[in-house]
Amino acid sequence: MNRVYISGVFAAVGLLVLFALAGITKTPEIELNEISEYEGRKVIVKGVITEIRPTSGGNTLLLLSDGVHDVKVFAFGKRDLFVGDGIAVRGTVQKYQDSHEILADHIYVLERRCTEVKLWQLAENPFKYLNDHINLSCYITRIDGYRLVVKEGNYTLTVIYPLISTEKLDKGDRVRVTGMFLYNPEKFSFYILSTEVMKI
Amino acid sequence: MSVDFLHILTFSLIGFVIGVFTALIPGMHVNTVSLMLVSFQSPFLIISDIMSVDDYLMPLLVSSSIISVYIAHTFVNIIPATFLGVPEEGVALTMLPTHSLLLKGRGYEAICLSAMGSFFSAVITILLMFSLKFLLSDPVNLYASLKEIMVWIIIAVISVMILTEKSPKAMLISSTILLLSGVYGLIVLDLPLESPFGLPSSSLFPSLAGLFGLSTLLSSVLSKTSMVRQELHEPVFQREDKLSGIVSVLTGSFSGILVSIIPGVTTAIGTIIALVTRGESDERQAIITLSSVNTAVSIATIFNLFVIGKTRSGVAVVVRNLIGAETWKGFLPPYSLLCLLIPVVISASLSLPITCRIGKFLSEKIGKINYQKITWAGISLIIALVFMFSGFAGLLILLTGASIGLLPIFTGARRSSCMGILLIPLLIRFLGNS
Repeated sequence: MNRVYISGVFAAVGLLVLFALAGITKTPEIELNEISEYEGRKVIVKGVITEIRPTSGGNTLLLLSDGVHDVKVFAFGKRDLFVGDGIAVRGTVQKYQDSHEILADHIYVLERRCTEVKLWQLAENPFKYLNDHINLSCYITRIDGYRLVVKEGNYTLTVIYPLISTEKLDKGDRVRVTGMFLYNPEKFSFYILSTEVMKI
Repeated sequence: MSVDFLHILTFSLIGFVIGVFTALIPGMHVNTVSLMLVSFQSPFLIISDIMSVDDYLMPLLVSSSIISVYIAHTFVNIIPATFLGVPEEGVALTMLPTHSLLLKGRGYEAICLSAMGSFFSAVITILLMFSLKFLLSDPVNLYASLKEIMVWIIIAVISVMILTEKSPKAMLISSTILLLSGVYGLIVLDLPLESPFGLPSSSLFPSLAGLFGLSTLLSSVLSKTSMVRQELHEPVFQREDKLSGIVSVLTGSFSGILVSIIPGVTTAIGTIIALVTRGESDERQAIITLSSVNTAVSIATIFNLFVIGKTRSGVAVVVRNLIGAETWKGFLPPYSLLCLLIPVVISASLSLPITCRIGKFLSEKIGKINYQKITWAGISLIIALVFMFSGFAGLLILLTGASIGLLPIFTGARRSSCMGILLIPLLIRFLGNS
């Protein structure tokens, strides 16, 4: 019984100290405009992704915004993230080419802004999705510079993809298009202004 | 893309050799090894030059090596856990029966049983995953519903763990330990740790090493346990043992596959699900069941990359970053999955005899050393490793874990109740999401 008592006390004291330690070493959650004060430290920031750029090394660069300020977030590897997603990033603040950015350890998706839709759903009820961030799987039927025509079933749609060159894409590729579903009044037509077109 | 069988074979063998060595290093997690392999690719490039491999095939070949390492780890990592008491996550529970057999002079038998459990679960998991593909993804899409019922599985596991204790008093003790380790888990699992040597640190290692490793070794020191002479005979199976063994491997493999599918549910949880599902069985069957889980998880996470398109282990993340796995559509599996099964088969087939051989060698040696010395060596090693990987905060986690881990040993409650460290935080997270 004595031994149980001793280990019980040790366990309880240990837990209390660890609890206090967790309080002290807790990663601070900061606003985006404060990051320059935290250089070299681990922080948590929250915001909405306004841009996603794959880097040449196969990593991901995100632009995180809180509506007023923007911060670059660098994450290793490809990430399953979309423009419009609300995320929390835990990582280290570092200085890169005169500006501060966050090297992400973990990215937690708080809110998925993207709606997964099928082309026929867009065709049958376009106004439901107008100005929404959407995510769409389809085939490429034509590539014309930064303009793609995609098809699924009997429906086709134009995708404008100005950010990255479309050289790596081919006619007939099955792709996942992420972007904003918009209306062009001059041409009386709907289109997607895409931030990412990925082969699947 | 076509790739020569000989190339994959060579890279798988290289991975196997690396895996056997790194798995023998106590505290070395397979994720660390795979990240190191990706970072230091130059030896691979030299080999590929000698074999005149095309550059574009390198990611697939490096992935073969990494998978080979991964599988070898699930076999060999029982050895440092059994002989030195330093458990990797997947073998925290398995080391309890293997260590206990070691003290009875049956260390070699324990290692062989573990290797056999792992091997047969590799065979079963490969066969099962081919058929389960059609249940998990299109057309049945069981994946989504499995995620929903996971919370009930966890609740069932906790209830069975407590309600099957021998007496109401033992139930009370068991639930107290479960809650205590749960609180411990909630505090430590999110604690940011930093290694004084810049090594990758996770609070899982010091906490599980404390709950299951250090506590076992300390209790040996306190009770002045001595080890009987090691016998070196192969495991003998009666007819009913064989039948029981099949049930153990199937239970382990199914639990492994189940936890490999659900995000955030780890191998250790798989072992506790398997242990509870398997019910009362002897130490030998427990070893087979728990080792099956460990290997099944590793193989299933590779399949899952292609079947549900998700990464469920550090190794799977590395492989996906290398080859960007395509989703398995239709009846025939993707070509790259078939290529990556070659290292699985090679590594599993070679790991079985090599694990037994190393087990035999070490049992022979260890029988000649005073057991108290080995115990002290194990204790010093755990403390040194925890400090190296996670600094002073890690030592505090280790000691607290050991104090909690000693409670079931002293009170005679089931030691698996310490798995509250993972079960309780997981349950809270699932309940929070639903």
